[in-house]
Amino acid sequence: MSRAKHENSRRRFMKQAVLGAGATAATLGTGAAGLSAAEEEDAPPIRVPAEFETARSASLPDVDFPMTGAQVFARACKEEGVAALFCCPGNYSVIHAISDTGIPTYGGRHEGSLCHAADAFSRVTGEVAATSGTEGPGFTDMICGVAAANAARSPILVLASNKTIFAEDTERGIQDAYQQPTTEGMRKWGKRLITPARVHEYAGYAFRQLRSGVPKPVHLDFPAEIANARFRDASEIEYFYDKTKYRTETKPHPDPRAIDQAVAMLREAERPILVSSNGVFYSKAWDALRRVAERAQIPVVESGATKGQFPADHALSADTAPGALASADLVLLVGQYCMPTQGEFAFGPDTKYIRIDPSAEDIGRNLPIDLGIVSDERAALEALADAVPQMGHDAWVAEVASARAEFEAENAQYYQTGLGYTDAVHPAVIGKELADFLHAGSLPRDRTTIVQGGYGIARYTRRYLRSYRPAQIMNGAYQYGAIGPDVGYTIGVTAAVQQGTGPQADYQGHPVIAITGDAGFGYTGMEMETLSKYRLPAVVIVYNNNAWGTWEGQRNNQVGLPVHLFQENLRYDKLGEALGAHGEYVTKPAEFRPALERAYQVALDESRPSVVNVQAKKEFWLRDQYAPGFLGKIEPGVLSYYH
Amino acid sequence: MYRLLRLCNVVARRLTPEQSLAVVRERLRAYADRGVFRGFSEQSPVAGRHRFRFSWLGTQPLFLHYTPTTGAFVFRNLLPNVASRSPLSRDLRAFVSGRASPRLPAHRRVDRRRARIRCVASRGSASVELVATRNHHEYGVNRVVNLAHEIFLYLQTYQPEYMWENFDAPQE
Repeated sequence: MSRAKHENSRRRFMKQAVLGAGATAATLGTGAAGLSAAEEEDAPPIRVPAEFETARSASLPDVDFPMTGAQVFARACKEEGVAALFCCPGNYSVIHAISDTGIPTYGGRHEGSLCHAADAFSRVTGEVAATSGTEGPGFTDMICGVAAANAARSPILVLASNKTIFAEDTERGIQDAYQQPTTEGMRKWGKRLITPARVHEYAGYAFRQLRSGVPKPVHLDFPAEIANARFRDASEIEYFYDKTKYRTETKPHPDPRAIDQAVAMLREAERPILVSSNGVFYSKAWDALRRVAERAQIPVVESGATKGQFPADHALSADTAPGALASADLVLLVGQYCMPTQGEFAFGPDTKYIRIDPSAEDIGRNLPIDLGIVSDERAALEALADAVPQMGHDAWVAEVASARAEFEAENAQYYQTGLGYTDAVHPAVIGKELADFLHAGSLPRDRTTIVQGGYGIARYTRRYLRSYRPAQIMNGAYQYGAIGPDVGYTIGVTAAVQQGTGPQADYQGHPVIAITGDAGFGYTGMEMETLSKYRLPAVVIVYNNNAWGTWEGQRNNQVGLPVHLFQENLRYDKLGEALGAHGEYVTKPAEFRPALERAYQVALDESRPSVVNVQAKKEFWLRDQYAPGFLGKIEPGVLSYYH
Repeated sequence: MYRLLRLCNVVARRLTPEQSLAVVRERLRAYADRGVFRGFSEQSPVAGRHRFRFSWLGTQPLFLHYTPTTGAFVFRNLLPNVASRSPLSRDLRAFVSGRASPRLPAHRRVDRRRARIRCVASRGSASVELVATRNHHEYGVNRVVNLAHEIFLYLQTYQPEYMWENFDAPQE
C-alpha cells in the first residue's frame, strides 16, 4: 500500500474514531467534541522516525580499553553469540554497551512484553537472547516473562540495573529493590554483581549456565558501581580470558550399557514410540531423531515449547494421532524437561519408559522409569541410531496412520459444523482456513513460522496447524500458562525470522503468523507499535469473543459474571492501525481468508504488521448450543502445551 | 502363589477364589511398585468384596472393589456428579460399551469372551464395572485398569469442563 493510501486510511480511521467517540460520548451523556474536519486533515501521519534508519546504517563504535564494566560485559555477550537484546529504557550503560557491539537490539513499550520476546526468540532459534529492564519497577515488570521462560526452559539472559552498593538498604532515591530474591525458583542462576573487577568473571558464570545442561534463565543485576566502573586495561579485570578457558563445549555421552539395554527393550516392544521434546531442539538432535525413528520404524510424537523437530508429514509422525497414544507399550522420552505427572500424558498404565536427559537428578521424577539414560540428547540419539538394528512395526505404524485419519476426519467435521454458524466466525473456520493458507496453498508448507498463542482458540488452531521443520511452531505460553504474552512473543519470533537466526535461516525475511485471544491481546497489544516501528512483518490474528475464556464456568453467576466479560465488538484492528499497523475486521466466515491474504500481502509489500480482528462469540464454547463447543485436549502431540 | 504355580508348570485352569485374589492383588501391587499408583492399600473385605484404595488419576483416591467369587471388578464412584439420566451418563455408557468393539485393536479392546463391561450412574456418580468370565481374572484386572485410563482420556478430550469441575484440571 502506498504512503498516500496509508495516510488516507489513517484519516479514515481518525474520522471513524471521532464518530465513535461522539457516539460513545452521547451514550454516556458527556457530550464530548471530537476533532474538527480541519484538525483531522492536518493530523500528522504515523511515521517511523528517521533515527531508525540512521541507527541501521550507523557504524558501530570501536570499543576498546579503557572500558567500562558495562562494555566489558557487553563484549563477553558478543563473544558468546548473544543473538538479540529486547528491552525498555533503563539499565542504560548495559543496554547501550550491548547495542554498540552490534547485537540486534529492540526497544518496546513494556518490560514484560520484551522479556516474553526474548523467551520466544530463544525458543525458535535455540540461541541466547537477552532482556533488560530498569531497576525496581522495570525489573518487576519482567517477572511474569522470567517465570514463563523458566517453565519453558528458555536460555534467556535477564539483565537489570539495581540500587547502588553505596546506598544499600537505605531507600535512597527511588526504585530500590532486592531483585535477586525475586527470581529465586524461576531461574537457573543469578547474581547481583558487587565487585567491579569480577564483571568478566561473572559473565563466565552466566554463560556456563546458559550454555550447558537444561537451559533456564540467568539473572544478573548491575549496580551503577559495576556498570560504570572504568578499567584502563585488562590487567585491572580479574579472570579476563576468553570462553575457551572459562567453559567447555563438550557434552555428556550415554553409558554404552544403557544404550544396549534400550536396544533390548526396543526389541521386546511391539508398539514403541519416541517423544521428542525441548531437549531435542536445544541439542539440535532432529537428524539423529529421524535416523532412530526410520531405522527402527518407531513413530514420533512431539511435546515441548517448540515444535517441528519431526515433520508432521512424515509417515512415522504420531503428532496428529492422539487416539493411538494409549496403545504404546514403550515410550522413549527424549529431552522431556518439563515432566508430566501420571495421567497427563495419554500413555497407558502398562507403558514402560526410557528417559533420555542430561540431568541425572531429574530422571525418575513424576513418571516411573524403566531405564534412565543420562546424556546430551543428540549424543544419545546418535548412539541409539548406531546401535539399533533395522526393525519393523508395520501393524503399529498402521494403527498410528488410522488414528491420524480419524483425527483429520474429526477436524473436517468441526470445520463443516463451524461454517454453519454465520453470524460470527467459528474457531474451526479460523483454524482450517489458516492452515489451508499456510500449508495447502501457494506458500511452501514449511515457510511460515507460527506463534501458536491463545487458549480457547488454540484448542482449535492446534488441531489444524502443522510444523514441518524445526522451530516452525512456537508453542504459546506453555507450562507457565500466562495469558497475554502472545504479541510479545511475536516480536521475538519475527525478529528471529527477520534475522534468519538458527533454524530460521532458510526462512529469513518471511512474514510470521501469530494467534491470540482478545483477553491476551489486552496484555501485550500495545506492542503492535513495536512491531510497526521495527517493520516486523507479523500477522496477528485476534480471536475476539468478547470475554475471558473463564466466562463459561461463571455464566450462571449473575452478580460476578461481568468480571469475565468485555464490551462486545471491540475494534482491536483500529487499535493496531492507531499504532501503525494494518487492520482488518472480520465478522463473517467468508471474510476471513481474504482478510488474511490482504494482511499477508501488507507484510510482504511493506514489512508492516497487521491485526486481523476476527469477531467470534463467547457462546461458541457452549457445547449444547454450538457444537462441538470448547474442546478438550490430550498430550503429547499437536494438541499439547502443558509439558 | 500364582507365580509359584506357573514356575511348576502347573497352571490351574480354574483358580480358587483365594488364588484369583492373589493374582489380582499382585497385579495391582505391581502398578504401585512401578509408581503408577500412589498410596496403594487394601482395606478389609466386606461381604466377600475386597477393596483397594490408591491415588492415580486426579487428586482424589480411587476405590477398586473385587469379588473373587464372581470375577467382578468395580471402580466404585469413579466419576462424581454424573446424574443417572444425564447426557454425560448416556455418553459414558456408550463409550464404555464401545470398548468391546471389534473395530478396536486387540490390545485396546475388552474381549467379550473374557469380560463384560458397563458404566452405571447411580446416586449422583458413575461406577465402572467389569466382570471377568470363566476365571479370566488376571485379564480382568488389566482391562479394568486400562478402561479407567481410557475413560479419563475420553473425558479430557470431549468433556473438559467436567474435568475442571470434578478433577481440578486447569481451565487454561
